[in-house]
Amino acid sequence: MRRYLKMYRAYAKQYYLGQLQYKFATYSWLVGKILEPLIYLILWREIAVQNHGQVNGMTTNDVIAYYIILMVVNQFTFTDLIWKFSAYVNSGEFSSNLLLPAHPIHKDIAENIGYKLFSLPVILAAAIITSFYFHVAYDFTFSQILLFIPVLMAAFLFRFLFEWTISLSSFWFINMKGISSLYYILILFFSGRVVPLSMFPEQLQTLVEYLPFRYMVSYPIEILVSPGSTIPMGGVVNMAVWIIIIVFILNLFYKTSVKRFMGEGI
Amino acid sequence: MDLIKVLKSIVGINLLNELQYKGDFFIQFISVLLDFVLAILTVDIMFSQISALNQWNKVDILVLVGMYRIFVGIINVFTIPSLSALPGSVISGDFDYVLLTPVDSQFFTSMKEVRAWKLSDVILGLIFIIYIYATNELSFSLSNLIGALLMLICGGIIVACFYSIIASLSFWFNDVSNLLIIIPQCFEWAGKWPVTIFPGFLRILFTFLIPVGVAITLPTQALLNSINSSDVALTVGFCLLLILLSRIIWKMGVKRYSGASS
Repeated sequence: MRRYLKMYRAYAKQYYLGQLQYKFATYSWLVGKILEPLIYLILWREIAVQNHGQVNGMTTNDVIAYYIILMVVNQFTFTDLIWKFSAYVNSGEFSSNLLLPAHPIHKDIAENIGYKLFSLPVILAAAIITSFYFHVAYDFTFSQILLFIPVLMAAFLFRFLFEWTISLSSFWFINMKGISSLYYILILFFSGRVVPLSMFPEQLQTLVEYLPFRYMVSYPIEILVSPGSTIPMGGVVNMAVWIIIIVFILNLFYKTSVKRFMGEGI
Repeated sequence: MDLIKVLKSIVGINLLNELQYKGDFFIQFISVLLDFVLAILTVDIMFSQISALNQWNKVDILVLVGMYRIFVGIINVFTIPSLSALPGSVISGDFDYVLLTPVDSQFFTSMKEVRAWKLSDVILGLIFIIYIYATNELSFSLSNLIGALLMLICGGIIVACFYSIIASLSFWFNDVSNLLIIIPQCFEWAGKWPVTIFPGFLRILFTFLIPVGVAITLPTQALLNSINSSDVALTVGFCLLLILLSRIIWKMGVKRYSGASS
């Protein structure tokens, strides 16, 4: 356990310092992370205002709060694994990950934490500024926050494991562009970043409850901003089941995929 | 006519290269179709409550979605893949080879990579717009069509020049490749919606700094209604100005370039 802690700290710190080194690059990436929710915030707010202060059961304030919290939650659970992994496997650099005295996923988690330590403060500052700009009122209770925190952690873990599993396809396909763009479209829409899931038509609402994407971004936000102020507790069970399923698939898929790896160079 | 000859062989080489990844092409095709379906769904949900968004009704927005796809297709055929490679080649010194060819360096750098299959985006966008027009029994005149085409060409040139200017910055700064990835993404976020929706600072950002508005909103307006001649004159003027500016910045940049390798 202490060995892992040490490893996590070392990799997180290394990655954090790496981000500091390329400040311009990392900050320019963050602009996009702020712009996307901001654009949808403006769009849905405009619709709510035109529709006498509410849209599909969400008030104007709900919509604004939803997208500001989304800005933070989406960054909290974000990974760039699919792109990074494919580059590692194709270049042969993945060999060095295999030589580590631990499962290679740990290095990736640690680096992701290092990246978040750098980027989250920036996103949080943007969220606070946006909150003041739109005069949003947050009206969640202490118990909502108490539930939000573990669910957010679980969402991070789940999205990470899920995207790591998808990244394993790099062992089978040289070119991951198609798979990553398909995945990107699916997660963008079904995790509630374009349209809040509570606004989906009814048949689709039952579908998204069973799809994995809700538990990566939308579900933690739903706990804080729940239209009709009933906290959707049912999601906890679905989320737990999904995490168990993905751990199982990850192990199986990793064992079969890694055998295909053939290191080149160096 | 040497340029056309060069262009022809570039297209040929790249087509062969891209055809290696047939499965990938198929998946990307499916993604674009899925993207259309989800866009229709999004617009449906948005307009279940209101009838118009800043004078844009549901059908208008759907035409805009099609126009967005056409535009993204166009800039992804040449501009984005070619110019994205510039920062890397300046750092590694591979830019030497561009300078050594007897072809104009700016032309060659902006045309070097061709993703011919991205034209499928253009075709899908076109089919989508025709579908929307047919199902909603919209009518259009020849002047609409010419106006839209003119605006689309101007928009394409504006974005290509803008992109070239940003890429040229790599002659001065260490690595601008991140900027070159973020700009196309801004098109994705902002381009699917009429630029007139956005308030003050964002509208300025998306009109001048990242010209989404000129490139996607204006051609759509030209197709749906008609645009006034002052808008056309302004766009063409802006287009010419950017061509000149990108040329000047390119020339200045190339002068600063010092081969890194060999």
